[in-house]
Amino acid sequence: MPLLEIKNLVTAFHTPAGRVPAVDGVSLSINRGTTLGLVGESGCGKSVTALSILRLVSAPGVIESGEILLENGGSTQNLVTLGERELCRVRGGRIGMIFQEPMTSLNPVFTLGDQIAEAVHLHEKVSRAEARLRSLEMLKLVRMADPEQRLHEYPHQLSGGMRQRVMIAMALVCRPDLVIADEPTTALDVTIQAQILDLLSAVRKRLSTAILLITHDLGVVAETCDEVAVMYAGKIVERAPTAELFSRPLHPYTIGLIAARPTPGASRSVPLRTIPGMVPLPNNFPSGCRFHPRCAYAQFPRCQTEPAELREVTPGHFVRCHFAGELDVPQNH
Amino acid sequence: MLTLFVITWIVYGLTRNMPGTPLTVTLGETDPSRKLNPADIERMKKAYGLDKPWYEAYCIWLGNVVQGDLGRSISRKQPVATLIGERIGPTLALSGAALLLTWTLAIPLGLYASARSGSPDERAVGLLLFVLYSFPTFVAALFLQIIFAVWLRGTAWELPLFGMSGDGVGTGWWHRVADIARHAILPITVQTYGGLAWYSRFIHSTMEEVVRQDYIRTARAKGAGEYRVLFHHAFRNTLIPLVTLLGLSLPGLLSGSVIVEQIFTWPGMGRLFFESIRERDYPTIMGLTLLFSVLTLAGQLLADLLYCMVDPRVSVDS
Repeated sequence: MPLLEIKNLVTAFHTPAGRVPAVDGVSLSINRGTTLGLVGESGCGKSVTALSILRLVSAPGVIESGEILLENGGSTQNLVTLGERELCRVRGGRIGMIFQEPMTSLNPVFTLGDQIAEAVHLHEKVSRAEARLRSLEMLKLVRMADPEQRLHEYPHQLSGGMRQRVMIAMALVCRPDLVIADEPTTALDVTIQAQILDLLSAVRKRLSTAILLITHDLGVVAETCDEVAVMYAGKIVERAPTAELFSRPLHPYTIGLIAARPTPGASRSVPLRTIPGMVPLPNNFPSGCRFHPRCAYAQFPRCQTEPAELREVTPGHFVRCHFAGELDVPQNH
Repeated sequence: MLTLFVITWIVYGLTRNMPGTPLTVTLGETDPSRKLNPADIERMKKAYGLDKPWYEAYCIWLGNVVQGDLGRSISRKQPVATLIGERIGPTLALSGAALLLTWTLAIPLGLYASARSGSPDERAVGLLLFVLYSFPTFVAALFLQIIFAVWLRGTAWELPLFGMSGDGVGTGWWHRVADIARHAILPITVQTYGGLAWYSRFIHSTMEEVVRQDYIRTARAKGAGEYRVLFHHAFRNTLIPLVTLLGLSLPGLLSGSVIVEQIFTWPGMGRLFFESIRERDYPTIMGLTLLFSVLTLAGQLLADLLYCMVDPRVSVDS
């Protein structure tokens, strides 16, 4: 049984201009202790998917349909229909979350120690001293310098990278089974990015936590994930184990993404390859296969009229393309 | 210090250049048959220092103030310091009670509005507060006077029409305090209701701003319940702008409300200020101006100090 299974999730925003389905029928599953990467361009719905799992999508966004099943001692609980009180137990208790903006994600008026300890108090009946000890332990685990002193400091006294370490400590202090990391390194310097990613994988090994890593950076995915799901225009277009996806991408979009990565040592005179066109906006998705206006392999009229279904082309490798496996694609490995 | 100097200098210049002097006011009120002859008027002008140009008089006033002398009231024939001393108690009691009441009601109201934002009951309360806010104090005061002092006369609900104390109360201090409290109910109500809408609206809108911040989402993701998110995480952050407001309301504590004190003939600073302007009583006007200016500056200092307490990003040395 997977730890978390998302089935046909639809999250839409009801704006004055009409219904905007940011997530449109996403299905995913994560096993215990594994890392799943969710990749896509800005605006494809990956962050909304992440927020939907903990029902943190704020108005006017609503989860319209679908199930989010969390394994719970042999049975499962559906987070979409869970009561407020139970939901609070899952948030931070069984599923921790790390956000993109470390600069603004910590409350400026409380000390770091209070903020981490609060997470402990919310989920476990422990004494203040014990909660403090646990916070200290977590700060050591995320390799903060002078952890004792940090407990009494405020967020503004820390750099972005250090704040993100505190966020990680806070998300992990209750030993959740799953951590959702929504672009945890996007706002950080490249060197800090590497440190934070290292830290995440080290902590995962230590605590055997599963991670849902949301990113637009394929390099990050290649280094840290066991499995990858590629998202485009509110839907998953391809899902496969990491090695398989990079060596044998089957969806034209994934092929384009991998080809668009800069390769070290490549001649500078050769321009980077790009995918033509723009990410479609959720209020105006194209008909048929949503990628067809930008697809080099699109065949008309089928791709324009008939929506593609996600199908398993080889065991464990799912693709949403009418011609998956039949395309004559130059392989880059 | 420089601020105080500039304020008093400007106010002195303006009051001295208002048409009329303390003497014209007194002369206008006296019996024409007992009119003073021009030589006497000149003598009186000299006695009060009104013969000198205003900038020279200002320097004399400033010199006395530096030595701790606020001067004597022209119309009331009493030292200004004594006058202020008499009036400060009643005003402090009235506006202190009103301010305390406003804040203790406005904070729960604002939080309640944030917790139930958009619900029908929140809208109803919001509308009621807005109606109250836009209702002028003098109209409300007159209505309350009619209801409680006229219509309810003779019932247990009757409240005194004006003044601070009545005749024929018992001798014990407890009776006196109870009597003053009874007199204060209407003025306090009038002074509170308008500010209530304003403050609770301010708290509500600040809270709306704060709950959109990323750290509120973090608190929710940690598993904090809706009430903890609002009252613990969000409210601590709304305290920061509230402190500014508190600092700004400090001078109001002593300056009192001219309108409310006038309607209820409450012997406070607001009325003293109003009357001293009407009587062109320069020393009293200046004494009060100086006091209010000092309080405004003190309020700002207090706000700055409170900032350090509620916002860890601000520290005393920076």
